[in-house]
Amino acid sequence: MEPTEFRKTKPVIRSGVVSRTLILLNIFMAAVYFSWWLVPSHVGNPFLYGVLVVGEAYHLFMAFTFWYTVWPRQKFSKNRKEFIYAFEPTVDVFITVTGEPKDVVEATVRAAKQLDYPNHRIYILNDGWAAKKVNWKEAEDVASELSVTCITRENGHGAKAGNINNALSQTHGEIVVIFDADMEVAPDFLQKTIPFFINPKMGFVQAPQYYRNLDLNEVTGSSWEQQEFFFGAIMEGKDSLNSAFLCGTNVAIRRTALMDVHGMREDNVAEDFLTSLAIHQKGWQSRYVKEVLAEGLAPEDLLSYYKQQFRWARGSLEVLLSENLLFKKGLSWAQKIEYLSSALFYTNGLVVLADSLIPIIFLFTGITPVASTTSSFALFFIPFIYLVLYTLNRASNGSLSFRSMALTQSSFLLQVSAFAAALLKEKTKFSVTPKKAQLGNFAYLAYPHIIYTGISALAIFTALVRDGLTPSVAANSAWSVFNVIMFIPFISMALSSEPAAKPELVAPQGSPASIV
Amino acid sequence: MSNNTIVLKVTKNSYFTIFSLFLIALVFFNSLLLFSQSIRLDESQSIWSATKPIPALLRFMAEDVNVPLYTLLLHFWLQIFGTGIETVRSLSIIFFVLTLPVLYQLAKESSNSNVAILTICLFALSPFVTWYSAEARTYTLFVLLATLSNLYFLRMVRTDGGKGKLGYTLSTLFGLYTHFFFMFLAATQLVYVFYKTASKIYKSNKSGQSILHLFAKYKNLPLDVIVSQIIAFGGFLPWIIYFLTLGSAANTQPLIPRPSSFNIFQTLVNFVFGFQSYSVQAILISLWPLLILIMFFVFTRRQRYLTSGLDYFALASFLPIMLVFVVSYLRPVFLSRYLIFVTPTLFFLIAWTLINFPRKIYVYVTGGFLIIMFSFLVFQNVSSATPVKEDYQDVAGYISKKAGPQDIVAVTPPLTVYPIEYSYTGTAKIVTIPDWDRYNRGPIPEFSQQNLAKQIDGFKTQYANIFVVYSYDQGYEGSIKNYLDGHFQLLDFRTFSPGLEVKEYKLRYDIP
Repeated sequence: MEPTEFRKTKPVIRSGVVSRTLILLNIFMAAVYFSWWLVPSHVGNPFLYGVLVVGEAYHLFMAFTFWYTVWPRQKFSKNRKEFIYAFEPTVDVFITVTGEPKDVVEATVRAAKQLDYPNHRIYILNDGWAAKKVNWKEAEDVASELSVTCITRENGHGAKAGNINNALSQTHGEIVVIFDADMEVAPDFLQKTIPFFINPKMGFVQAPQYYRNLDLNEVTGSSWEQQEFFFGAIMEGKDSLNSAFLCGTNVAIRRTALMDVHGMREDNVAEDFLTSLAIHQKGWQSRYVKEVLAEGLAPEDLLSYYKQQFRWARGSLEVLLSENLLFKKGLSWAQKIEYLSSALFYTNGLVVLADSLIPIIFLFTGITPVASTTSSFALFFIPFIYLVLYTLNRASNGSLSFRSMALTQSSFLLQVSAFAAALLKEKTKFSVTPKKAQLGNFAYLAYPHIIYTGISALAIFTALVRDGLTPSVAANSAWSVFNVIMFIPFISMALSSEPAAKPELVAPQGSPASIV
Repeated sequence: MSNNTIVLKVTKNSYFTIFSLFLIALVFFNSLLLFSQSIRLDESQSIWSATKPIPALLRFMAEDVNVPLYTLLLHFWLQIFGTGIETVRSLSIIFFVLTLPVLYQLAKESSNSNVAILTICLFALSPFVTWYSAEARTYTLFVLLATLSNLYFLRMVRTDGGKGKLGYTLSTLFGLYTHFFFMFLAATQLVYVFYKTASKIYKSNKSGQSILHLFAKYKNLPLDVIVSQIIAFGGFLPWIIYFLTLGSAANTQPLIPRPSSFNIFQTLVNFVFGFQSYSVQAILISLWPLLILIMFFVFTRRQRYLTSGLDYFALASFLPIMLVFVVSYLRPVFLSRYLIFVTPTLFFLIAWTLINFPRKIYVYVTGGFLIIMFSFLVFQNVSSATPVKEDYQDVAGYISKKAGPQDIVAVTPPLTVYPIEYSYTGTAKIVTIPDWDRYNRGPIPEFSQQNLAKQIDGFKTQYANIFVVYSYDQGYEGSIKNYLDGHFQLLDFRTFSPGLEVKEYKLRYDIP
């Protein structure tokens, strides 16, 4: 199979510049808005009011970290002319494979072979046998056909991180470049990333994770739109604060930096996040190159998306709960804030859950958290949320989509589950995001959202019978409808999934040729 | 294939245009239907002033803390066509109809014909705008001039002051003579120009040029706008001087309470859904979380209709409301009708928002929105609970029939004597409480309990029954009711429209 020819015109990741004036205006409006919550006479039911205040404080903190991230500041030099082109350290290209389809792996390897760089070697890190994948041997076949080295290991310890660490112990390149099995790399990847390592303090250089199947369906489209915001405004901002973190693929890492932290962290499903934290702690620097240099595959079905998000959420929340991010030695304050905000992102589910339940509680019971007119609250809230949304729009240069935001909101249950799992220290197995659509009926993923819709209807009916159509009933009904509409894209994706197919449950056969 | 697509587009546009014209025609006839309604207080004042000779007219307008352009136009209109209420109101509908092509042009120059057509549909369907299109007051002229001002202002902005100066200056000048609140529009435009210039300087400042150099580079637009405004305000100065030299106000303004946050939202609800009952308005305001949802849609659209000056439309729609709200803490002036000049830009924003909905749901959302507006329009015009309805015509008919020469009719507050008189054909004498001689210069006398007792004692000597017409509580209606209810026998009581009622009391028992 021929590799997909890397497009001549690369896709562009959209992001925009937010002016300082706009951010200051945001901060001012946020202060005005939050002052509303501090008025004692606004307290209705103290418990529910407290829940709302905590939720709003969380939103406010996340908003502040966002403004801090996108605050326009002097970027590192982007002028690559300063680089010495003779600087060509040895590079090991690792392609991690865990039973991905042969055609996908083959295309990735073929693309890697076209890398325009002299001192590099390509390795397939085959974890298929250890992961009991029936097609584990295909990776070795591809390596043989395309004359690259395949390192197949027998011990699956440490999942992807363990696979990389295993390869590190057998290779010697000064720079290690990691690609997932589906990432078809552009020929100039190394030319665009390696020159940064002329700076002896440069630990790693991250490139974005573009999804070439973004037009396939709603799930891939929404996933990409979420990614685009992250790899646009957010990572650019983190880059300017020397806080860009490892994203698992499309990254070049200095071997000495990685060895300085004893390789990839194997004790967390978000091994990349934790490893970059350790690298930054050791004083290494990081860069982010906002240019599409490799194209991969988005999860093509809702279950795969769900699993991927759960893994990210679980890993980040574990870091949040186990690592004292604000007091980590070796990190700058900017890095502490950036790591904290990234880890905290996945607690959003708790706030969404609370915010979704409070109008329902009022509609059923008449208990109101707030003792104030709805218009007085609206007067403070609307300008604030308007500015926040406008700023998000500007920062993303219009790339932020409704369905991606709706998907984030609708993922609240997986985030809550991940939080519970992290809190209870339940073991979560690392699983690679499937590279092809999983057949199955995933409607069950949206059952909570469908049930919420039904409960909302019942709650509105109950309140109408009890109080009639009062302003309070109207406002809380509107909030319920708001939540339901935010869930609709997710419900639609779940209901449009394919009927179930029989899973393949065949034990791996044979023995690896290059088990180490 | 591409030809087919073009044909399809043309067909769709044609349907949309026909539908829009049908809609506007419908609204036009709806406005005509409103002509059959009773004359209202403000209208009677307009007619009363407009029928006076021009010097007296100007004096009345100045004493009323008002500006004279509309009344002057009405003066000549009445001389040509007479003082029938339909005739008087038709001047307003002419301004309303004239606004439509200007608004279309404004929207089209800022976006495209689809947005423009939808904007004028929404504007024409607005129960609020329709209401004032059939009222003999200045408001549709005010909107027309505000729309013209916006049109020429944006032309100036787009051409860096190259085009639109004369139109802008004249529309601002005439606008100031139409309503004092035109100043808020001018202030908003000034804010926008400074914001734009500051943004340009800020962006260019990165290139290392000095601020003064950059200001010199971008000075054209702010200077042109300032000069235009100076000329317009200069042309308005004679009226201010005249107003100040009179030295007194007639005290005929309605009592306006200090606004609350509710009033801001009420104003926006009024603009879109018209004058509904208080409870309906409260419900509509409470649905504001759905507005947040719309914001989510707007700010997460990856591809939008290209629009120039969208920030101006947003500023011109909301800044004046906030300015008037703030000013109202010094002197309460917050009334939704005074803010009617923001409706053209507001409906443009709504149209732009609707048209940016995903294609799959655009038709349903827009169609649903237009149907809801139309339903509220019809309900406002037919419902007797509509708060702004003033059925003075029926009041005048009732007292004309019931009160005889032995009775007296007292109207409170005094300024409501105009609409009663307009339709009154009875034989009983009409007076006001407090007693006001409107043919003499000076303000309406202040209310006092002592004067009330003295005035009523005077009636007791001459009249059998007193018919008291209550409306527009100016803060003393309760005192009058308490006094009369406590001293005289109540014979009859009728309510004609919200806040408009007639009470009949027996003054003497020796006259049958």
